[in-house]
Amino acid sequence: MMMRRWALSLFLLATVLWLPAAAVSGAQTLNDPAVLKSFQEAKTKWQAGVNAWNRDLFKEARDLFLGCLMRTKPENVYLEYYVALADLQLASYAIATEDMAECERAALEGQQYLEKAMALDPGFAEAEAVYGYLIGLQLAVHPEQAMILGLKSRQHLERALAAEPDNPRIQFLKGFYQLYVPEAFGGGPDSALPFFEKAIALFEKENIIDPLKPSWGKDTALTNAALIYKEKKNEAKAIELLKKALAANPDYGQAKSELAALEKKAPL
Amino acid sequence: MSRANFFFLFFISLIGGLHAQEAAWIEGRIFDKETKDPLPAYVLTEDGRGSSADANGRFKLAVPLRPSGKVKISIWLIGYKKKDIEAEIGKSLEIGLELEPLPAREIMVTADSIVSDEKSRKTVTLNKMEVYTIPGAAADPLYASHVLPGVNSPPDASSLLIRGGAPDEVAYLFDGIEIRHPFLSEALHESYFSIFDNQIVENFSVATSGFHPKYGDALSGVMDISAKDLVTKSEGGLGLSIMGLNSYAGFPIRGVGSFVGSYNRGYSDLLTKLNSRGGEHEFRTEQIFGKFHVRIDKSNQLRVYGLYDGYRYAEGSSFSVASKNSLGALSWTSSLAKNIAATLTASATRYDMTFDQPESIRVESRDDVLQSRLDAVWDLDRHFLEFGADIQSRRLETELDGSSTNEYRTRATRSGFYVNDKFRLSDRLYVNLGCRAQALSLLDRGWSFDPRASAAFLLTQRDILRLSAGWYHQFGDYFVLARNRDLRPKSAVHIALSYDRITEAMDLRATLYDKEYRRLFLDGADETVGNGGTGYARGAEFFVKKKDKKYEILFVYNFLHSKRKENDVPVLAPSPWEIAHSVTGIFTWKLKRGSLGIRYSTASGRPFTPLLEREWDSLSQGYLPVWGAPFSDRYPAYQRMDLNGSLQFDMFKRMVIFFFGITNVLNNGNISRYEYGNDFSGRKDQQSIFGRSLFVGLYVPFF
Repeated sequence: MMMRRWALSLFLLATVLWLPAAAVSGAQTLNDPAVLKSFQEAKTKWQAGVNAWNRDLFKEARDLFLGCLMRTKPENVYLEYYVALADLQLASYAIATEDMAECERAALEGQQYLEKAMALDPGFAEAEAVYGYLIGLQLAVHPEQAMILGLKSRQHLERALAAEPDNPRIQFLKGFYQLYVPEAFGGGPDSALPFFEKAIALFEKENIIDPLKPSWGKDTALTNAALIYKEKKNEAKAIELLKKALAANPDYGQAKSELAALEKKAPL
Repeated sequence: MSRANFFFLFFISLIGGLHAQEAAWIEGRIFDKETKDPLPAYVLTEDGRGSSADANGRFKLAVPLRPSGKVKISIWLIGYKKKDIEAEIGKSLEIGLELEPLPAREIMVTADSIVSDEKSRKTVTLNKMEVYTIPGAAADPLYASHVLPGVNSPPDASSLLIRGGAPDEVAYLFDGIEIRHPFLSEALHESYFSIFDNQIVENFSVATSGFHPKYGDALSGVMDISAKDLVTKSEGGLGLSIMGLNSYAGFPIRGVGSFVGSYNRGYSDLLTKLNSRGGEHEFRTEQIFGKFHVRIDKSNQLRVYGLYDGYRYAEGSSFSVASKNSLGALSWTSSLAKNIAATLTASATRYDMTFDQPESIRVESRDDVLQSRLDAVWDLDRHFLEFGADIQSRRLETELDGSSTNEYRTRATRSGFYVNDKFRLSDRLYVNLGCRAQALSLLDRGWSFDPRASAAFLLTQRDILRLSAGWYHQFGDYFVLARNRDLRPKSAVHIALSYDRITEAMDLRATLYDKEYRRLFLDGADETVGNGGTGYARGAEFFVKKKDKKYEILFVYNFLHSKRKENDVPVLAPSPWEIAHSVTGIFTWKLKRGSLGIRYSTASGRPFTPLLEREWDSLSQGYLPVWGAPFSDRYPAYQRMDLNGSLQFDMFKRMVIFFFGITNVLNNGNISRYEYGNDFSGRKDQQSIFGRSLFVGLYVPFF
């Protein structure tokens, strides 16, 4: 009897206190033409930022992605992903210019957007890969936390890889992570190369039509693989890959300059 | 004005207007309303123009000129509430943003201490690496827990004394399975080292008050350990030290899941020689652990575990102790919906112990436990609901001197169920309400009910006030219960108030608590036992951990006042577990490729019952002791200093870690207890087993 009373009061308490669960996000499309236009402009700016390695373009792209995100209801996981992707570039740029405060801000903020995206769509493996990579970037700011950040970063990248092994961008991000892990920890160019090569093979098969879905990375994967071959003194292979990178993206600055340097050194 | 002039002026004014529209700006500063920290938030106008503020929170944005002189803008930063305002053009704006409240699951509402590197849970933490780097912790999660607030144990014994509670008032769980004998060595007086290998531990928590209703049959605290789970890439390590061998491996199994396992073997021979210890001591340990994680499909997962721990200690031919701990378990986790998951665990554990003192006494005991539990969670963002049930069947056997006349057996089944809702009552107030019901087949008094409630109030983003109150029941020793089926479970009511300050660089906690014991077992006349015992434990704790790039400081102080009327003590006397003051300070230097740590711990001595004199008993033709008032004297204060360090270097393209530890550097002869001879003529000081000892070893991790 006492038991029944207890269960009933708990049920009543629960009924009074619960609020309806938040609605799960709907289909991931951009219906507002103005937002879609702004999104396309953001993507163009982001790509231009990659081509010219330009911080201001990344920042402009990020602002545009953010504007799209604020104007879109329900929340769009891809827009959250793109804001974080811009943060990834801003954090990388900040490391190159030794602006560690900006690197930390961008890496942490990018992680927050991805946490939201992953909470809305737990199957969004590519978001988890970028998330893992952003944690890895924090290593530049907190080398003393190498064990913890390195482990966390790797765990997320590995989980994304296990969930979507045929996603070229996840393979590329994993390769890029491996490239900067010290050899004593199992990283280095030799361990990164198989990931880049797998990514390149997967990019060849990839055919993304939906402008909202991520489609970046082919040019950078080819260029990074080329740089490893250059290190290995296999310049012919490096040139071949750089030419493929430029075929994929004729404006990619890094591929252009690397190819020019290699061809100058060993004219074919 | 001519028509032409009019059009000219109109055109000019239009251009001027356009020009004015482009030249209109809004600008200002965005900051956190509470901390006043600048925020790089994003500002969006109603026509879709936007810009992020800079690192100082400053922004400037071109806006269309409106006749009203005002423009609607939205300001947002992830983690903060979006703010819509009507801004006056030309005026400098000061915009404060409020934090978005966290989902219920992200706040630790109870006053638990967890081991995690996730600050977002807003509680006092140790991270997993600290289990290795805390001097004197022997890389053992139980020893490392001694530095958490509310744990009063001196670092000699593994067992946790939580807020004045006896060692058996703490429940130990491993992946949800209750472990009745968590120590490698379970002696009469102290227990040393845990059976949990830190190499395979994923995380653990020590709950000192307000603990979750899923934990039952514990009066003072809970230690909950979970083993590493799904491994997506091969990893492992091999270590060799003067204490023996450590090894760990984890690897994915393509298309199936993963495996995590470890094997450790310990010998004391080298340690004894290196530290010039006299006597013939023999110390052997063996640990094997394996866990298969099988992914059935995206929403169903199966785990199969096995654990074995063997231990033997002998002092020449005078005595030996041997124990074996084994566990086999099966667990099924299913995601029933996007926000609902359930885990069903079934396990069997066996503990065998033999104590042999040739020509004097031989004790053999066995503890078999079969248990099963179902735990479910339902995440509703604002509410985090947990519920479940558990059943445990236990059989205990003890045999003295290999004689069936000295054989003791008992068996009992314990069942329980619980429900708990953690929810956000307001943006800053998080509440936990739960209840547990449990019953034991040995007793006739039915079910006991434990209502538990706690609250966490976020004073600021960094300052949290916690209050917890709860009722806890524990059945106690089954052999005692078997003597009187009318006994009721022992109970305790906890009230604790804590203040936490949690920042990136610092964890701080100050706590006041009161624990009132009721229905403790009290011996009566003619070997009867009743529920007449009472007691209390009241105290205060202070914990601070300060982190910097180059160093880390940890300081903990516990004050405790506790009295108990229990067992054969018929009056309210000082509790034998009352360590009135304990202080631990740790300083760790973070070197470029390693660390160096120093720890100092001191604690007041525990109470004991003094021997006043002896008197001749003509009937037994021997001396009998005359004891003083129960627990009216105290052992000398305890103190110990430990050092440890590690250095990483590369060898054959592999990372190698060299580590060392010096336990009890000053070789303080801490007294663990007094013993008396058969005629009570003289007192013998039993010193702690932790004299000055040096440990060195190498560990090679594989990634």
